[in-house]
Amino acid sequence: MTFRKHNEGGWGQTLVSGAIGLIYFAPVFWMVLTAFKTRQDALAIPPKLFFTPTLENFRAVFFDTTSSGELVATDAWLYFVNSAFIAGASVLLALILGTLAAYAFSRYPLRGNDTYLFIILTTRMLPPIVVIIPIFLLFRLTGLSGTYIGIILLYTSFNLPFSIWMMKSFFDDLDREVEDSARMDGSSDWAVFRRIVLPQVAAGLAATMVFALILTWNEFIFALLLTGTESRTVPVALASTVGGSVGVEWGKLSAMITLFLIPVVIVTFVLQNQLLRGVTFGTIRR
Amino acid sequence: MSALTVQRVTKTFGDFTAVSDIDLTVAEDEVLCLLGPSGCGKTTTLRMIAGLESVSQGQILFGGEEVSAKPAQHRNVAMAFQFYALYPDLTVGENLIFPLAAEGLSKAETQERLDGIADTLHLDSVLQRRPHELSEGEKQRVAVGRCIIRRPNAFLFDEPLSRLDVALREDMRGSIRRILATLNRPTVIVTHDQLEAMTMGDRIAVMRDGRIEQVGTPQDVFDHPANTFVAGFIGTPQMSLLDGRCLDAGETQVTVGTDQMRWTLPASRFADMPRTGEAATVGFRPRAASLTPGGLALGGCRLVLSEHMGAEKLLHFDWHGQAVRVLTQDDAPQIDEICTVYLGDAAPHVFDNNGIRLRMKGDRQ
Amino acid sequence: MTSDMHLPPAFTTQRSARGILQWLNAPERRGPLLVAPAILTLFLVNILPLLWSFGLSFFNYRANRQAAPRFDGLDNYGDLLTDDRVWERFVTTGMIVAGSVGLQLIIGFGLALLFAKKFPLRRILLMLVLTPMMLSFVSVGIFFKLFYDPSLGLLSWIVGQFTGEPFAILATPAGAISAIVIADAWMWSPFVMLLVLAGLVSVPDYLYEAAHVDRASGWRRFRTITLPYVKGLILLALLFRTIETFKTFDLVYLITAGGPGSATETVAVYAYRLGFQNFRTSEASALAYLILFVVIVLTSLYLYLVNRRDAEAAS
Repeated sequence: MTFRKHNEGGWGQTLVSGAIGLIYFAPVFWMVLTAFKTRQDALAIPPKLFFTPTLENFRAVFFDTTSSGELVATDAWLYFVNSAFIAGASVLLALILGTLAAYAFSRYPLRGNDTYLFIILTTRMLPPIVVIIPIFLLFRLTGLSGTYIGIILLYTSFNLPFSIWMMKSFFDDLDREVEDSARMDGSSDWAVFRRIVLPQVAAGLAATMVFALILTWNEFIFALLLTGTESRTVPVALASTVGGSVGVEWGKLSAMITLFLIPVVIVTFVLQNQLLRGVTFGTIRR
Repeated sequence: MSALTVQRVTKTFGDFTAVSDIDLTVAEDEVLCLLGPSGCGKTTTLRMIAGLESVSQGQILFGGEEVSAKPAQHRNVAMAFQFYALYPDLTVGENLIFPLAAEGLSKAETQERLDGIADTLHLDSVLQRRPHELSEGEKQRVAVGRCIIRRPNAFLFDEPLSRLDVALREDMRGSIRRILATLNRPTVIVTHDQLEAMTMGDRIAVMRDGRIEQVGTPQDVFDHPANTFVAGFIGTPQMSLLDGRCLDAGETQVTVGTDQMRWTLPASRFADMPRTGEAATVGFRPRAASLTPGGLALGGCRLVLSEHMGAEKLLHFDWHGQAVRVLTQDDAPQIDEICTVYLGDAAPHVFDNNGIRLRMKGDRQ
Repeated sequence: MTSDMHLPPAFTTQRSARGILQWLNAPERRGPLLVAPAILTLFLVNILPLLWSFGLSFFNYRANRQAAPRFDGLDNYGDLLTDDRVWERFVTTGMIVAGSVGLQLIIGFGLALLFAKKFPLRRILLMLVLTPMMLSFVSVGIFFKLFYDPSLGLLSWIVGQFTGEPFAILATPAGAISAIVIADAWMWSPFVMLLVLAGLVSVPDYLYEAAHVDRASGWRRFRTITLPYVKGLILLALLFRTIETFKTFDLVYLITAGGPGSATETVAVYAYRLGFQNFRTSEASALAYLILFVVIVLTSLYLYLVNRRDAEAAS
């Protein structure tokens, strides 16, 4: 007779979980399938599960064919580059400021720190609608509306609370004796931070960065109101194509969404062990 | 080189006083052990000496120079931490030479010191490894090595052996003692283990609740505990302490006792006389007591528990509600048997109504 | 002696640039110095505008008019609180929150129980389930719009197979609300699962082993061992999701745009309409502050629970 521990399931468990997992994933899966369908297949009733895949939709996202048969680059290039650039720049800024602040919050406990941390978290918990009215007015006043600087600054301020809370949770986890020891060994505070502390939170920095990148990459409502034609990001472009259900080119739209999803899915996989900490702002570390 | 002095130092955290008005001096070639139960303020004291904790009141001096306001970086003190505090992203070799960066040594000199340390502590084979690849004993040796590679003003050790298993602990106790003897710097070791303190310290400072209860050589602290706390804390098995009162402090004789028992000692032995009518506590070590008739007798001791300790047995008696312990090689009586415990001719320790030891003539003070 | 050593050298000796740098570099100022840039950024980009709009909420400002705003006192708040439409929007939001969070708890808990055991391919399958919460609202909105599409949507086709009639879930108020609830619950059940799972795996094995030795039934093991470990986390998940769902904007905007009629218009969408389609800026600001009030109450509750959990873990 074999014993099975209470927390171990066999292949039977895999089968059940697999079935449920696939059903759960179906909406994503369906969209990705649609991306590989021809226009006829995409509109077919009953929906087709088996079909001859085509890359036509992906080409159509990035290149239009003119009447003379020439390939012309579409605006999709711009949207993807915008999304990447805006997310990258704002996350980098937020990470630098946030890491310094988080280190201070973690290591120099002063009176009032908790209040600051609370206010910082609250700014992130704010309903977007509360923030967007004054931000809209502010951007109109300062001429930042539609500019890269404007949206990057805004996203930096959104990523800051997240970076601070996340990095603080990583700093809090470190063994302080190590830093004390380096200090006793004659290192300046800055050297302690750079040579001893930062290498230890490298994984945390990466997780925080990638998380913030995804949050920014996905952001919709502020981008909708505050980016112009030049600085438009992918989510805004996607949303603008589904105004009405008639005339939506589902194949092309699905192709664009599929491309938009790829980085997110990869990152989710890589981050699996940090997901919990990430979605709870570092308040739960497991 | 020079001594380390702690002068009237107090440390408060908000309303809580962690260390209260303590004085300590450690000579340049001396090892002082700070011994006490957890929470007694010994680690806080160590951290104040290190410069990791500020001093609320009082001064810390290295060779007469006041350093209380200096941060740790500028005190040139080496410290081995309880949890080793090895730099996780550096190799063992890099860990060991890390402190030398601040001393500005040449490459050759650095290498020489590293080789010396690695040799002394048998770390040659693990120099390229990272801390997480080391065994507990190796980690501990790296921590010690990183400490003694320097030529600091003082060495500080925080519970250096607490995480090692028993065999390794005995081994390292000897090694550290030998190494410390060659260093010629004031050294402070924090420990809660009296055996460690007794074997490694030239002197011991016993702390409780942020105060120093007694400072002295291990022998002195064991033979002449300054108060009932030290008496009960130092020495295993624990000293038996019997509460009673001073019945008569006469010209020739002092009588201390309870309703059941009286103790008569020649008054000529007391340097400090007890006062008649005040509470007094009498203590004696389990090794000084026996079941073999002789000397003062404690009748009516009921055996509660008998513990085998290898060659000897530790007998726990209940004597009118007070605990009496006897260490004996004889056969143990039956549980609940009523016996008489004899104290032979060993002199008991007597403490006054505040628990302070009454000095005897011939005590080394 | 001890008192003057803390005086900054810059004040006791000379006020040179170097002295000021030294003063800034003092250990007791290091914390504030490191925090300052972050706080400053947040103050300029988030808090200052917020104060501005808080001020605006007491005027009758309209962003598309030049006229000087008039001070209206609490009129905007009074109007909003007595306006049936506002209360309707709050009720709609409440229904979506209750439905979605309830569904998330059930699905999330079920998924967590499923994935609490070890089995082959667990990591990969867990991925499939975890991915939705990492997606953009836009992607999810579009998935479900396709999914619900009456002519080519998968859902309509499946329902059609049983009823024989075309199925347009978004055409009826109840249908549209359930459509939003389903999409939101699909996206966020993984979040609940993640928290519950963390609770489940934190239960030490020896407790279960002890319970087996003590011959406890499966139900008693669940009641006395499992539940106490996950209770706190479930509460956190519930509160966190309530706060987030209360702010729902993107999904509604993309799937139903508030329709049919105003059946799925949440307070956030209504505030957006007031502010950006009707340009009643001050009123929209006031409504935003009503939403904020609710969220702050919920957030404080959340932090209180987190702290209590930390305190429990520490003791």
